[in-house]
Amino acid sequence: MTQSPVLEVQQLGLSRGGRSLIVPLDLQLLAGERGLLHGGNGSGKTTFMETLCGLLPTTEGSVHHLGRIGYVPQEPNFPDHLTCTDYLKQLHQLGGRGRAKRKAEVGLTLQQFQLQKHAFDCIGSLSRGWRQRMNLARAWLGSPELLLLDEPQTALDPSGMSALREAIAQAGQSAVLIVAPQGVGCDDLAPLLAKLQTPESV
Amino acid sequence: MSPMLRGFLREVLPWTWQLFFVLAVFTAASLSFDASLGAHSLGTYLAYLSLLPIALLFRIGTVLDRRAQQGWPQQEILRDPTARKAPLTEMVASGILLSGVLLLGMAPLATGFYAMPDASSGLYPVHVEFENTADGTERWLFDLGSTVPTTARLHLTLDWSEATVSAKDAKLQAPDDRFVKPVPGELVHWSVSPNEARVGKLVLQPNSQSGLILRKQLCRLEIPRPTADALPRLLFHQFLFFLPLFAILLAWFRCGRIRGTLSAMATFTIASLAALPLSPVDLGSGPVAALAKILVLLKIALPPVEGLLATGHRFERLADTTPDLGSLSWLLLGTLALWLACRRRPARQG
Repeated sequence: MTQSPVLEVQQLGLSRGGRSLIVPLDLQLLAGERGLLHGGNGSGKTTFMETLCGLLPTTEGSVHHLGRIGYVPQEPNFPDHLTCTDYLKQLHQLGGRGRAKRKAEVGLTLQQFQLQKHAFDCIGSLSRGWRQRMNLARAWLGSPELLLLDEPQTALDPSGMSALREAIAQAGQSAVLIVAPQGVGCDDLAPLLAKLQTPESV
Repeated sequence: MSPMLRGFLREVLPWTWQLFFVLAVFTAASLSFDASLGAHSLGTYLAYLSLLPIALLFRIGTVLDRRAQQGWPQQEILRDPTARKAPLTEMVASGILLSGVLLLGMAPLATGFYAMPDASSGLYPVHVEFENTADGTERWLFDLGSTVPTTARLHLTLDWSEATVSAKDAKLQAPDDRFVKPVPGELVHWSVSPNEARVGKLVLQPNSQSGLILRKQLCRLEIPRPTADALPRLLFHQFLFFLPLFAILLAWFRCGRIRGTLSAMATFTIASLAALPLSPVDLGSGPVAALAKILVLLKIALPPVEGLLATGHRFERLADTTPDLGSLSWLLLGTLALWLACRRRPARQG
């Protein structure tokens, strides 16, 4: 019996203002698979990820995914007045995961990214690195079927990178797709699937 | 209480805002009902009170905009594309907050802070003119001063000493064929028709050569004070008056790109003009009169909504006198201002 892909991308191209941003791409991720896409500055990494999430409409090709998505945007936006715990509890409720598991899952996610000591701090008071850990934590919350990470290494110290590596390893049946430039520390997080290329560079 | 609901409530009304609302209600009650300080007017209190839900609505709008920038709807789409928890929570929380603020506003009324006036209605003198018609009969022209509520009644005292008609045949008739039969020794009560209430004038004509004499100085217009069941409607009218003004203020500030104080002054001018009752007074000539005429023209250009802002000792006289078309035009003006203000939102942060 063949397994349905968690993420299936067919000839997905991006364009902005009538100009093509990337060479159309095919991609498929099964449950538990990891993948890495390389792309330099201006290669359309963030636009590509937002299109995969459904936050931007597809202009060319198609995207299909199964289940919930945990998205790590490159530039996260948080409600700064909320504590880490309160924010994650609210997100947990948004996901409809049920009250019984809320406390345990929020605690586990905080622990996964070593955020326990900031659990009751306002997000606005966190440094850039800890905010990035919160960015990762909110994506991991509730074990979504698909994790899309846009330059997840941004602002992380070695301890943070280690937590990220461990979280990816423990993601179990979640499919993980990472986009990042080559040589910024993400190369060993997942096997390379493709490079995002502009039509001019081909 | 769910984390989402609690979070939204706390975001909209942190303790500083809660304190502000409690103090605002207390201050409004003092300024309206206090024996020495207050205006002794329920209308004034309702005007103050109507500002609170408006402030709350704008606060909710600000928070909703901020939440949109923080990506709450996107977070929900990512977790469950079919769920509607975030907007539902926001709607429920807004309902709870608005109800809470209104309940808080009703507290001074319920706790006896507001003492009901002794009289249940206001009595006002009426200007009367006598007019002799071509056929020799007399008509009485009553000038009520302005538009009055349709609940108003005119009380007339008649002198029968020179009456040439019997009590049975005596009659006072209006041009629209309504009539009343006066009884010697009793006041004549005339219920004002909607048309008479709107134009603020009415005409009565006694029988031809009846000899009935109207005691002009004893004519009184009685306007019942609104009772408790009218409170929601009166509060809504005040709300309707102020809400477009806040929208206009925001539009001045954002579209006009002018300072807040200047925007407030411009809005205050519009508010003053809108609340100004027009009276048919000859303004004369001269530079001051010319300025007054310009203001009158501006006033005429605005919808007739002075009745929405019924405040002061004689608030019952103004309450419920605004035509529906006037309220609707005023509301449309506010909607347009709000639309313009929202188009010129501050740039997104982050």
